[in-house]
Amino acid sequence: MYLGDGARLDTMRMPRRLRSVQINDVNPEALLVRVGQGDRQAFEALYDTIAPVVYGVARRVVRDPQMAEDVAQEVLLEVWRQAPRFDPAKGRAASWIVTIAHRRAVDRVRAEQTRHNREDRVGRDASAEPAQSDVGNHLEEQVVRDGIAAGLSALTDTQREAVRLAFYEGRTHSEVAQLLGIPLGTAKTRIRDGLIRLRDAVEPMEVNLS
Amino acid sequence: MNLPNNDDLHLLAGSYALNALDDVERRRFESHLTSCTTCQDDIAGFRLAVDELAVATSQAPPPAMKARVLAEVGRTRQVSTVPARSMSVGRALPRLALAAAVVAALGMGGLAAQQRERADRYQEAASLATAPDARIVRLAGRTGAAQMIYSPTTGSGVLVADNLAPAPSGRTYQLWIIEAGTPRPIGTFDTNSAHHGELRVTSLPGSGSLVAVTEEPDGGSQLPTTAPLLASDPV
Repeated sequence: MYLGDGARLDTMRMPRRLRSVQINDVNPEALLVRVGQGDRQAFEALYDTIAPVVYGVARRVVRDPQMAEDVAQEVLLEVWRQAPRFDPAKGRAASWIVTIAHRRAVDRVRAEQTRHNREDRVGRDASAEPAQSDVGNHLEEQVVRDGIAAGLSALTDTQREAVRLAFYEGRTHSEVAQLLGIPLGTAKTRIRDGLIRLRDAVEPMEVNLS
Repeated sequence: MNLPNNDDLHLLAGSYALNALDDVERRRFESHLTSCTTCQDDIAGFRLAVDELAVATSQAPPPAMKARVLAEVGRTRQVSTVPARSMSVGRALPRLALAAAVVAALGMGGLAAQQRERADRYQEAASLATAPDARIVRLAGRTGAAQMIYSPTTGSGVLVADNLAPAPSGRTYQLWIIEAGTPRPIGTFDTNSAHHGELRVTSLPGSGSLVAVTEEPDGGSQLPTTAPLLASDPV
């Protein structure tokens, strides 16, 4: 590696899996900027690149396939609508899109929870119950596999569980604390420390180059 | 609702990056984030970790989805690049625009509402909106939205809520002003079958405070007993 080549350095610094998000030698930032100028062809190219991530996040967080598809569609349309606001100086296209996708999926899952809690109000806090067993075992296994793929193995068991509940199940940190039977402060710390480790695992070059 | 003090806010960067904050915490953290470079750096790094978590879930979407999305895109306008937040927080708006917003908000009240009462409230809100120092605070949440329009000189205002389903039996909505982390009960209100509700307000938010709505037992509570359904940015 020679440090004088800026473009190459950028590629090196990008987490391994995200590099595969770049297709056809078009960088997603340039594509998203073109989308922001109303370019529908650019959107179609961007769709092919990002739809699997958007759908994957929706599917994992909201679980129900039909609802996940609705959420993914909303997110992709939102990417089109909001694209004029994307500023490549402030961050990567992947982060911008993932933020919209995860937030929308989490909103949906929490709205469903609220609706559920209202519909069968039984005088106790349903969110205090552990995750229901209607979660297929294969899904759990999938989550574990994803987790390992995503570098979650760099985390301690307790950090991994906290990050998993928050990201893949869309739980608030208060719910994470309740579900794990730990104080809220401990939940915040586990989530934060977990992300620090994960960041360092996916971005080892950052330390060496800065 | 557990409102952290400023020292704790740094700890929230991880939860924020994972969307694990409730609405009030998120707004408070976002307000902190604008001035805290440590947290900004943390978030930038955490985003990389979050991207990785997200990309690991990738799976092929149903093939028919693409045509549907592209068709929607063909008939959907993009946002204009006028900064979205310039109209959001506690800012005195051009009075005509504000009056128009009030008319639009009240117009959603539905035909079943008592016309006379509505006309009175409409007049009240419209006169507030045209007061020289009129301010508007927007409250947002996962379902529903509300605007509080008030005039610091007259010391009064009105909260207008929309798309908020009536509270379940035995429950009501309660408005709070949260100053320095301490919630102050302002009043309770209900919404009608058109999911519209209003509340007269005679206690106003100070600078930096938040406005929030929770669901409470009938008659209201001294302190919030549930997470906020709607919340504003700091005023």
